[in-house]
Amino acid sequence: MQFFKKMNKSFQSILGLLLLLIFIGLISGCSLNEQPYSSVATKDFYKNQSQAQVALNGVYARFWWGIYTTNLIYLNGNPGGLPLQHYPNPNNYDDFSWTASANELQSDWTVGYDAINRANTLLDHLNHSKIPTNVKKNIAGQAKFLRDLVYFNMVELWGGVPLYKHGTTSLKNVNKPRTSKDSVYAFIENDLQSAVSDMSPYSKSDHKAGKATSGAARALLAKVYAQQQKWSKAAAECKKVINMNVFGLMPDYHNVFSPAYNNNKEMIFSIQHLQGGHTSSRSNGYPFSFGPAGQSTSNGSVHFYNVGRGLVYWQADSSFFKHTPDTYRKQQTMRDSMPYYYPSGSSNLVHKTVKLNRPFIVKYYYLDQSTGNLKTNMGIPVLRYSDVLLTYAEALNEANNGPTPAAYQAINKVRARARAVGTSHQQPESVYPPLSGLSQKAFRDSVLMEEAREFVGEGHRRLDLLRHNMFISNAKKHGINAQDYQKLYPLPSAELNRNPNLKQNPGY
Amino acid sequence: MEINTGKKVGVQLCGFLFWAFFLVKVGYAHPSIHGSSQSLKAVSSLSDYSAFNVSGTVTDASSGKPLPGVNVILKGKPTTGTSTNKNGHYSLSVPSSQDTLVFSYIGYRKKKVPIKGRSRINVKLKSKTISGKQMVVVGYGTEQRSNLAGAEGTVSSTDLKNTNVASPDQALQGRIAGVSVHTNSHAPGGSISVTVRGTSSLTAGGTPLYVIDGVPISTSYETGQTSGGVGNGARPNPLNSIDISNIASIQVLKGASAAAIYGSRAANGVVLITTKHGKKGQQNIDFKSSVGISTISHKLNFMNATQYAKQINEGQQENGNPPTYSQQQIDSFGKGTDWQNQVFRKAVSQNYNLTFSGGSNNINYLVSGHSKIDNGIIRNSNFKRYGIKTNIEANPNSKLKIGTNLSYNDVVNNRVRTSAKGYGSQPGLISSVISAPPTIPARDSLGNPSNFSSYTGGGGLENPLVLTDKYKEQANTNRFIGNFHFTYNILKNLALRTRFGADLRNWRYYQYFPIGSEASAGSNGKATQNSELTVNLVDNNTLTYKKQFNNQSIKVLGGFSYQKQKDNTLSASAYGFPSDFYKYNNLGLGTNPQAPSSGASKWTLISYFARLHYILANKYILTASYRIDGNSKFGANNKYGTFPSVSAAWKLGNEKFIKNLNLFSHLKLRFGYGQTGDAEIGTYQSLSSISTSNGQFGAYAYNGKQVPIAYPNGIANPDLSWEKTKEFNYGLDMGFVNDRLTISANYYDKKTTAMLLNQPIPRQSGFSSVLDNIGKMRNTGVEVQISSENVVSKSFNWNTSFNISGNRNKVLSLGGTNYIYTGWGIYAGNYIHGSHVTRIQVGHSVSNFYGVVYDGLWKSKKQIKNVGTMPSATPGSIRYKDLNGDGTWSPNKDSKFLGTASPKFQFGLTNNFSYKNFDLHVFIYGEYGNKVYDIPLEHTLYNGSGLSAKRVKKRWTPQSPNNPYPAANSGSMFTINSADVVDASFLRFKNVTLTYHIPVSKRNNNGIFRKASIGVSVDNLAVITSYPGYDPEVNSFGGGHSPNKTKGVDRYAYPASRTIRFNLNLGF
Repeated sequence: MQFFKKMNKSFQSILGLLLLLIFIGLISGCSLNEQPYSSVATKDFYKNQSQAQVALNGVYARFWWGIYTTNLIYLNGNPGGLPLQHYPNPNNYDDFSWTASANELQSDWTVGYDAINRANTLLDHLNHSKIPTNVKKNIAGQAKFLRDLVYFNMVELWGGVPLYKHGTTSLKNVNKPRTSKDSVYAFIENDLQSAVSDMSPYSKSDHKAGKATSGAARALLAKVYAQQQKWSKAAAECKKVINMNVFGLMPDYHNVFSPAYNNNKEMIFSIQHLQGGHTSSRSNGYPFSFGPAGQSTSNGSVHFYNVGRGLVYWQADSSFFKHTPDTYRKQQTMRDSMPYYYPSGSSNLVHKTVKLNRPFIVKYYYLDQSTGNLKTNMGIPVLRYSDVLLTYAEALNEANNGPTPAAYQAINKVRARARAVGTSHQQPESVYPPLSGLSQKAFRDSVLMEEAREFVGEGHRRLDLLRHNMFISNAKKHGINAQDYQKLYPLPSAELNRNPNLKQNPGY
Repeated sequence: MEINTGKKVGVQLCGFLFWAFFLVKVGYAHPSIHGSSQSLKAVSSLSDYSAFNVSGTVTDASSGKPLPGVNVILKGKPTTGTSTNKNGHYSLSVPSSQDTLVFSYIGYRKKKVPIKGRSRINVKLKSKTISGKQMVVVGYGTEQRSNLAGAEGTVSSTDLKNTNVASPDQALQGRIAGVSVHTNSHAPGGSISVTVRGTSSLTAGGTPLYVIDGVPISTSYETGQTSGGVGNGARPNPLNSIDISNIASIQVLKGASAAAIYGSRAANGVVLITTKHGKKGQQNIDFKSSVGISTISHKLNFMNATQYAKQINEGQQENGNPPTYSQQQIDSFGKGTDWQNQVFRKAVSQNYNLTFSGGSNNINYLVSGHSKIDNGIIRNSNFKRYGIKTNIEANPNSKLKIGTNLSYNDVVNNRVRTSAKGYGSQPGLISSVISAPPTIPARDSLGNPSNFSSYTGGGGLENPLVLTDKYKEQANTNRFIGNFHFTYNILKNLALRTRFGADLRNWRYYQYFPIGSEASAGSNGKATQNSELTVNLVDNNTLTYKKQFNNQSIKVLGGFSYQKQKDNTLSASAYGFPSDFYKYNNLGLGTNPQAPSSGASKWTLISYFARLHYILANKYILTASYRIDGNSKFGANNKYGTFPSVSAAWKLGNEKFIKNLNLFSHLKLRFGYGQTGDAEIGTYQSLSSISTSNGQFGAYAYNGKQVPIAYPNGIANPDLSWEKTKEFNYGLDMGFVNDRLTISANYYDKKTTAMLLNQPIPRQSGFSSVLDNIGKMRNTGVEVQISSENVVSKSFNWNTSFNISGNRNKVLSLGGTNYIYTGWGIYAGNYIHGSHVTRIQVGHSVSNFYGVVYDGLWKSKKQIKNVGTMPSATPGSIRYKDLNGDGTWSPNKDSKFLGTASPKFQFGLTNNFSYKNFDLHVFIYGEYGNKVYDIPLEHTLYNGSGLSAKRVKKRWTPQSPNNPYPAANSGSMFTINSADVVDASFLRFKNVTLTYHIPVSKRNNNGIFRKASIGVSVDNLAVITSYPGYDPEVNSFGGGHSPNKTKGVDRYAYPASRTIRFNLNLGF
């Protein structure tokens, strides 16, 4: 303070001037440009291989949501009687009373288009990036396969949907109307053919990692043809997959879904998952959706794993359960008794058969006995080799007005595997004999029943019936008040509100 | 802390004794700081021999009541002086009979009286609180209240002294007309919403700009809050890291004309907080403390175990299933467990504040330390704050004034999750208490919380005691707010003021879900740490020019300010622990480490501003201001915006023709217009960029290993700009009977355009929305503030202040869409746009609930069949109205507005009584006409599993089909339902305080005490309401970035408490 007191007047003026200069000096030299630190501008991304790869991961990641969650079962695996029933009471997919505001429909739409936009944006930018051509093509092929998979699911849920071939960059393109079902299918067919060539030759290591391969694109193309009743093309495409000689049936049905055999030779493409509880999107949620959780039984109150109590959504349809021959496959698919259990409040496994109140799906039931939790790191199956074989049989039967020897061969392979032929669990042929001498209709019915048994809990049933225009008639046969227009689901009501260019499906 | 844990009380008591001991010790050892009066007396006695004696009485000018403790000093010699005794009498020896005496007293106008040879001088002092001369803080300066033309409101330190609030925003509650302060969560450290003159924004921030000692502080958390599931409940209050005990005044700039000087951040009002300074000629030590005991103010009435088991069995029977409980079991249950008694407790709270303040001619200081420990009424929830505050100002010479204001606070907030059912499987406490079957014992034979999964009906539920005792959730904030400033008088009338300020906040959030808990199901313990470091720096520079000539006064201010904020977030978590011992403290031990995440962001604000304040003839006032703000958050095409304002006032009371009426002691008409903005949005919103993620909600896996992902996160909007608010204000101020009665009224009309909205776009685009300036909204309202000195007498005084205000909000435009849905409600699943409870629609007010209409119950199968609107209903389930009469009930087509969460009006009433040495303070506030969507009500009464005692005898049965509550087997319809949208008007006795001022002259034989008082308070004494839940003042969506869309949802909120508090204030 002495310092200030001694300051003379001129010194004070100089100080004042200095302060004024500081004041003015501060005004200049500030920028208002925004500098992101933990994200990158869209135009600056997709430049190199690792960026393109994480962007591709971003497309795959959408499959942890939307249709390849329990939605698939609600929408495609459950409606109309066989083979599942909502637990404990029928829901509005069982009795055909779904509405346009259903969460399942909205989430499939939302997540599906997210995946499409991510794939489109990646494909848009990929051309300008500095990546070796073969790598670039493989990434592009996978992105195409993924968007085609989404579009395929969409056209079968809703019919024609808005078709986006490029990423959305401005508000101008957000209100597209629906494109006809045929045009979407045409795009899918074209895109899948290009995906097949992009991903050729077949990469075994990609398959092992859980990525899409040229084989997956072919198998999907076969299903796309079949679904449009383009039977000879479907049969030809199935034959191509078979002739690749890289896929085959797992002799033991139990191992097809086992986390110990992830991405095995039968699992042509599946959604990858990791270990985690029933709340993590990383985990496959199916084990908790089907499995018997806890039950009041003659042995008292018991449970079958430590977590996920009360999460069961589905059980096997009782009549389906009753009428399915007692193959090894059935034992690994549906059970009305369990070989072990935990008494309530205890974590000591009791190895003793206990009768269940209802039949449950145990396809994805892999108990980790060290923790008492269910394993969740198995893939959610999308395309399986048995599917290729059955589609082949089905397509040949339709294309040739009756079953061909190749058709019998294909379906009987699947039937033999159901008996665990070639494993220690092998059952005699009498349990589930091979088919022969059937009419076209009888063969068709047999294939459909085989598909129901082979793919229960994989979300196939609705599409299988739709291929033969039996979706509504089958539901009616089971005493459900189904209407013809219900072959298609309604567009999500929120989307109709947001986009006036969208027209609802008739009947809704 | 629980009252029965004697150890912790002991620790606190020791702390208290230490302080008391310290004070006494210091007091004896250093007589110079005993107090001003004593040391001044000592000085005056020195000059006794040559002195002239003068004495007299000092009284209040209006009441004639004697004023004790008035400072009487000699002009020019501040060391010679005394103060009046309890009778207002003083006696002083002065060197000369021609000196001048200066009488000063807090709250009164200073008076200078030349002695002129008189030996007896009686003085009347005029109170200055309502006389209009009071100086109030305005943006970048101060102004006499009587010369203001805009709309402002003040909370003074006298208003604050009786309350026990935790943060400065809470201190505004019920005090200022037009300022709505709503408690979102009653949890310790819980969230509060402050809305000034209605909701003017939906997407941008809704909180006012807070300026503490000239530093605009940061009130929003950026990203850190939303990760780790924290965002699921009402957010904690970002201001709870600011202590209020040293606040001198809080000034709210309500109207745009006053606030426009703060430009792009002023649309929600500006709160100017000024902290206390030391006073010249005083050397004070003040010790304040209070200890309170809190209990839950209102419990819900639930079924007991027998009643519960019978209801479950009845439901099973109705469904055709065998009974769940055997008769033998039912007989053994009795009343079972009262889960509310298990988790709620009596809790002790404590407050301590020790302040040294004083000053000499050219320096003043205030040094203060404080601690606050609030224990919540839910086990293990608490809020602890420790802090220091230092204010120093010096005038080294006549031209220069320098100073610093520094505060540092350390906050530890242990939380038990409420205001949320929880995300995924993370349960919330109140929902668990409501769901917990009373048939299950609270604890097992070892005293541990019982394992619910071993009991019938307990599957999937968590024992509430596990949530309170084993789940660990802690938020930690270290916050420094400080500035240094200097004023340099370049010329006589020209001053340069520069202020550098900093607001540094280190926020840390810890969470641990124990092994075997529902929330860590399958993961053997989950531990998480999130942190956010916020550095906010500001540099303010102003030049002020003042000139007075003849009957005119002119003040011109010009300035420049630069502010920037950087945020860094970091989050890490790991699953799988060998034991619960490590909680969140040893992430490295987790067998399943999760991918860490981090982020950084920065914004910059550059501003230029100017203001003119002109007064003519003390009658006509004109204020005009202009601000230019440049903000980095906005689009490349719209970085800069301008914010003008103008206001005028006519002091009619100073006109002769009014004076002649002899009616008004003052009368003023005001008019103001201003433009303000709201820029409170996240960073990088105008850009399209790539998001990356490697977490639970965004990742993929190859070969059984998780891989990170990247994806485009939006469509760019280079035109993005701030919201623009234009506001007109019309005001009238009146004073009667020498200002014993004052009335101030305002009408405002506030229109917001370019309102930021996340415009929903079709999801087929791959995106959900773009942020765009598309909305319009209008708020109009009336505010009335009345203060009156009802009784002024020698021994009894009574004054009242009352405020009431009503705001009407209307959405004028939402861009292209007519309405949007918002707000997530648990029981509103599956229908109407997912699970939203609120519909914002053009032509209606915001926060309007939208849903189906409850129409009693289905009485019989026959009725269901005959009516036919809900064919799949079961008898005894809820019947909803087929509003459109199409013969089918469908929630999408048969929904309507069910009421708004905004009150029709709100009010606050403060009454102060004083009788001799007793003071009684009664503070009431309330809201009227607001609705709350009561989710616990649905859960307890209408949902199938409902536990409400109301259902015991009054639920539907085939035998009594006219009973009002649903059958035992009735399930929830998963849709928002008018029966759950209930009136939440309330009147709250927030604070009643009785204080006894100990007559210090009798007690202090040594003269140690300057003042001393003891008192008892009851906080939240009573709430008058018809609300069926814990407390009507609730908003589980409160806080956060866009808090305005959904209000008034009770999503299992923390119950309110009643606190009895004992206060001790000592001045040395």
